[in-house]
Amino acid sequence: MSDEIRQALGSIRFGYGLSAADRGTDRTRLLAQVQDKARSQSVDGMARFKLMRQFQKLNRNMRQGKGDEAQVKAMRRKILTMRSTDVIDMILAPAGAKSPFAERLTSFWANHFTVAASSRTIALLAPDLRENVIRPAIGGRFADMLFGVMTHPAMLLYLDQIASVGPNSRVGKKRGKGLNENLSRELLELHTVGADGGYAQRDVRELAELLTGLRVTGDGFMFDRYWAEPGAETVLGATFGGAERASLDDIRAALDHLARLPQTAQFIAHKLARHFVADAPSEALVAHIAAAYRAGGGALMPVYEALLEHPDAWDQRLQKVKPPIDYMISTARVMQVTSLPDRSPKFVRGAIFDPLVAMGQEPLRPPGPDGWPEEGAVWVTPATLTARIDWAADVARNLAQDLDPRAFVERALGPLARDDVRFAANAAESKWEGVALVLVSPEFNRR
Amino acid sequence: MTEFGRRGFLGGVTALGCTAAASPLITPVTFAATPGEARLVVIVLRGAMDGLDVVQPYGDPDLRQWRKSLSQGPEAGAIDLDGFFALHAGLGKLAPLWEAGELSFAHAVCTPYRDGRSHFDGQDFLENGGYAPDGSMTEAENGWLNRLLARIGARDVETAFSVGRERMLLLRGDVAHSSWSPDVDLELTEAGKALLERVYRKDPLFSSAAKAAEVLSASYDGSMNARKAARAEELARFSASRLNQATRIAAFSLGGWDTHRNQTHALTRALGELQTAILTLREELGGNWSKTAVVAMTEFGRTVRENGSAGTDHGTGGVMLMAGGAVRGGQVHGRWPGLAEAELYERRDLMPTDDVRRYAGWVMSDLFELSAADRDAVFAKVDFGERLRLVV
Repeated sequence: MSDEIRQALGSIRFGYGLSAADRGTDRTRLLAQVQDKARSQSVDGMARFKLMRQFQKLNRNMRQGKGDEAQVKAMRRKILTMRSTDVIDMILAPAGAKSPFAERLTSFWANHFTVAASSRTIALLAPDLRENVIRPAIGGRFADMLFGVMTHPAMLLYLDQIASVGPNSRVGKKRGKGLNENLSRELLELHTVGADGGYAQRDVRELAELLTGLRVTGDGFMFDRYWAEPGAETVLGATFGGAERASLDDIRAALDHLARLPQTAQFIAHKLARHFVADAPSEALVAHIAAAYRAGGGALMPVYEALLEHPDAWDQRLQKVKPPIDYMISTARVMQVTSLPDRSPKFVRGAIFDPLVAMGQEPLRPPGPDGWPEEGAVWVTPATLTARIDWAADVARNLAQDLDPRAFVERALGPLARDDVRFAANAAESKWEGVALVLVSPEFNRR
Repeated sequence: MTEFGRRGFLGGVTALGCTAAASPLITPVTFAATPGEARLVVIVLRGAMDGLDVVQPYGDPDLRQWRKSLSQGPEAGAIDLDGFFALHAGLGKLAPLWEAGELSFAHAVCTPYRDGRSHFDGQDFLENGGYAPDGSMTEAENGWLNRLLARIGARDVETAFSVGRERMLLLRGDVAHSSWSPDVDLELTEAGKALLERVYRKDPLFSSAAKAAEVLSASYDGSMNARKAARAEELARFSASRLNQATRIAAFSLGGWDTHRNQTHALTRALGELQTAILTLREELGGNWSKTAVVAMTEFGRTVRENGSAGTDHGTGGVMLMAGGAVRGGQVHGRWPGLAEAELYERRDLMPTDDVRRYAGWVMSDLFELSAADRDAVFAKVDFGERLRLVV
């Protein structure tokens, strides 16, 4: 394979595609990108949290007939604007990023630790989880990221941990409340060892007991020992807690244990390979990544190194389909879109949100806690492909008036453009249509 | 540029570049006196319209040897214009305009763009209007309508409107103008769909989804036809509403002319849109129709010989259409070169015998009463020659 193709694959498969500024990336530079601490979005999680508390209070007052309707409306507007800005940032920040591989990894891990917008509060806190917990941790140890996520209000709210009380804890006994196993089960099934990780209902229950005490209060996350189930818990062969005072350290130790298990190595290796390389990755690739995970005790840099050094990572076939959000990001990147002419919620809805819904990926609304699917066939259906074509034609008609499709096909796809798409770019009857044909081509929709 | 579009994605304010004058922030909205009462509508027909099929020279004895199924003249339903030329049935509803002296054509015309036969370069040439022979754009990469705006002293941002989603090179330049686009939108053209089929053919996932969605199939046409006609009507209706007020120049483009295969079907559809646009303008302009000239131009013509898929390929000489109450109608202008093989350009294309810019130039000149200096400022490289009396 020529070096040119390899470099192009580097940017397309592990970033958001080629652009005028990004003509390709090699393994060394990809790994360096992971350490890039630059953050294009700044999210103040605590301010958002307080805003939602205030909003809930106002609503409560309203229901009791003593609220100020104008104030509620103003705040609803503020929240809507904030969410709308999040949607803009979700597309334009990665599109303009200097370290697209870091963006892709942040996105991968945010999807691994899915929180869906089942409430306004979670919707507002999800970007905080992503930007302030996951992003800083992508180049560290998996156990640390896991701990950060499990102590973030968005996850605790989303998977009902806030409703879980140790039945024998002081609060549990007093209120007659008990366990909610949701977070515990998903932690095993989706976040660490995986469904085939060899755990039993007993492990789920004991882990749920151990996780009690993780609360969200008016000041955000807290560990509340009066909620925590007393006694020791055994999860997948290791025992935690049991001391007089329940402590967050017990939970951290349990998460460390889970993170180090070989099933977790295997599960995460498979997930990474499936996300970046192929819907059905080779066993050799998965084994290679898993070995690096085990050898490093869950340190993530060696894991990415293993992924990038395997020949499968540089397979010239573009086997993955970009999900709609990533498709939009790579379109914005290659079209050099740096801002919107109008940041109003209404405009953002029409320009970004509704098209994403039509393409099958409503932001923050994945089908379940297992996140967005990986299979290309899910993303390319008659209806969603039509939506992609419509959107691409729309974008091209608006933005491609000065783009020559003959140059654009090279800019967007470089050496990976096949003859058919080159031909189409040359033969289209207008510039916008030529650019649209490149944007809807399989090469541009795959990676 | 002032945005009236309601739905436009990403709006176009990007690093791709708008000229300074195109920034909405510095668009001067001053309502100066409008430059007269004349109105000009320019329609760019993207994709290269087949002039030999639209205005069929059925009186030329050589036509039949090149065209086996297309351009069969009045016997096949075309409307006889003058005993030599016949109008494609797809423009049949314009026959009354011809009778009323409100419709004319220029045949065997082209820009000086030659040989590359690229749509993109051809359209740039047509819209820039003063192109260097080496293929690079001259002047400030602006459009000739924008240069015209400067010469008629347009100071009102509404004097000219670019209608539709596309940012037309035709109006690009230092003089501010407005733009608007309708909500009704169309996807790909017929030619675009054929190209899409090719782009997808080796990817089963994409090709099967596209086929199931009927994006590529003929059964998709019904609604598309209606949508396209609705769009053309809306473009024209909006243009007319503005032209009835302060606007004097409007421009939009219609696609679907790149008829490499099954031309009868594709061309009829494209002509249907053009016909709808012109009839809507006439209807909506009311009394102002008499002061209006509509000019429809395309980047180049198509091959004289019909190809193997009942279509035609990129050629050279073609047809320009003029309509409106201000047009001196009922004529097919131009010097007919003949269709004998030796008369053809490179033995394949209709020989261009005149510069299409000369026709657009004389329409514009007489409509807005321009001086020779003004004419030259708009079309620096055009030899205007003897006056063409195209406008009443």
